[in-house]
Amino acid sequence: MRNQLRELRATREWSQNVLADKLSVSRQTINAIETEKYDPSLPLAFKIARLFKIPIEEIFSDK
Amino acid sequence: MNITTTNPNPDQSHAGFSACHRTVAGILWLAAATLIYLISLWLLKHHPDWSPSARVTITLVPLLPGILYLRTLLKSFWQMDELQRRIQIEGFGFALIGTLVVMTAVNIFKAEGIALLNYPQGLGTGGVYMTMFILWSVGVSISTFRYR
Repeated sequence: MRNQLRELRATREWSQNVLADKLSVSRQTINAIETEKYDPSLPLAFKIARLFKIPIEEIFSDK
Repeated sequence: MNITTTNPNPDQSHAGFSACHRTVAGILWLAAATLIYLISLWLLKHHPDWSPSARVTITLVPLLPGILYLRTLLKSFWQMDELQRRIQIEGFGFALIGTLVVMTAVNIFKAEGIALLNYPQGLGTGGVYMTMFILWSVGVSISTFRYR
């Protein structure tokens, strides 16, 4: 699954650690999602969408 | 000059303290289980004359701190984030399947009359625990590397 997490994080100028703190996950989880080695659970995906205030399908796509 | 030193995320600090507290509790319960196990072995060896009910009780006593250790482990597991939890599950699966393979291999050797140097009577309980722990460590390392 593709995602725009790295780009979204860059627009806010947040480090992986800052984003990890905001989502209450580890930095390793953020890195694994950004490098598309790990697909987040639905609750975490919704949490990310709420944090960036954009629809979930604008962050994650199956293409 | 007014300097404020508020924690930007107090939940994280609390989670860190809880994780540390759980680790210490886990180590203490494991130490207690090991100590009580060794004492119970000594008692059973030196008092063969005791009644069967007393011997059964002494045999089962080390299970109590063992169960409390497992409870601490499970609490730690459910406090992990989802990727850490997946890594642990993959590590445990690797250990489970690996131990079954090793046990089967050792039993085949035993059935064929080939005595293994360290396990002439099969793996035994200690051997199973040790094999599981080693394979769990390997499995967790592989999974951590995969998601790095």
